Amino acid sequence: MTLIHPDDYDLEAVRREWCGKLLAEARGRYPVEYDPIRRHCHMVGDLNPLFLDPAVAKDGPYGEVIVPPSMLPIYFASEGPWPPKPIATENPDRPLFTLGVPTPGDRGINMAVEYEFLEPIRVGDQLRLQLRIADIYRKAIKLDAHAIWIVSETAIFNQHDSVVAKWRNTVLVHRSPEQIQNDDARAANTGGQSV
Amino acid sequence: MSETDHSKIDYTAVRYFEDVEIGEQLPTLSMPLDWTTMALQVSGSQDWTPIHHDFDFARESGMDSIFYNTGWTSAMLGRLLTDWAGREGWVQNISFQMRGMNSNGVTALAEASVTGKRIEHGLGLVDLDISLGNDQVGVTTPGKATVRLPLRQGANP
Repeated sequence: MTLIHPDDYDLEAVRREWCGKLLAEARGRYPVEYDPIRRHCHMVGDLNPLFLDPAVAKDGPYGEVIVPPSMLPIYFASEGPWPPKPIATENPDRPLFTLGVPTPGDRGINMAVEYEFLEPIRVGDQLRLQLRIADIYRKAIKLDAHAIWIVSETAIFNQHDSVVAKWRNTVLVHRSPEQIQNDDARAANTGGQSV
Repeated sequence: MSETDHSKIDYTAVRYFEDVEIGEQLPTLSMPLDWTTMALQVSGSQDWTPIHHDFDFARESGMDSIFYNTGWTSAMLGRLLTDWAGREGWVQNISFQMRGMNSNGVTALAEASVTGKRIEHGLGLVDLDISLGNDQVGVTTPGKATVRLPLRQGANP
């Protein structure tokens, strides 16, 4: 894993290179399927037949099982978590949650999400996505004075090229306590600024 | 698993815009978190980031414990809303901020209350404050949502 000392990190250069950049255009490897929806519902005990029962859903308002509004539609709009996505291959040293953006640390915490659900997503739909970096900034947290926050915006399209959902996400990337200790030691030895 | 009594949820019922009152509290969704729920969140979200299931990794990252992921958080809040909205309801948007963590050993609590209602372009929209938290630290994840409900006097598109 490539780690960057905060004294060597040029936030403005990173912003210039990454903000506004169309980072990914992906198409779902599989169409929207029943069983991932079933697993999603199972994790929170959801028994809603509109999400689980094809017979009930057929007579419901959407005529087919739909993706629950709480299920991240990116699941069906990309190549999925396995095998590794191209982004992982192109940036093997960066954790996926950084979206490839260089950061001093390699530990992530998702901080905020905003979803808009514009149209029903039905079993059988074929989804694709466009993902852009909207903002990158530094904001200290208790664990790390050099935490970097990355804001991304994703639009999900169906096979009719309608935008069916939008997702704005904010993740922070921080250093581990061990990395901070090592960075502080280097700064102390070289007279750098890192704290 | 969930302590919510499924027998009290009528998934075939329709909730109409006119029947909702500002200040109305939605039925709380509660769920004790243990090793099984932790495994289910990984299975259900397909999120294998180790901070959500590897205690040693979490502690080495400076955390007290693992914490449940965004997909699970979203699913809890989403179920809270869809259980209430009825078969014709549509969750139009959800937003939340993850300011604290939910981990094993607590009982997670998803709650919501109606803060406003309006008709826009012929659509009945209900605004809600939503939150996820637990019985030990209180609210960890405050947020907002808007749910579209059918009108008695005229169907939403």
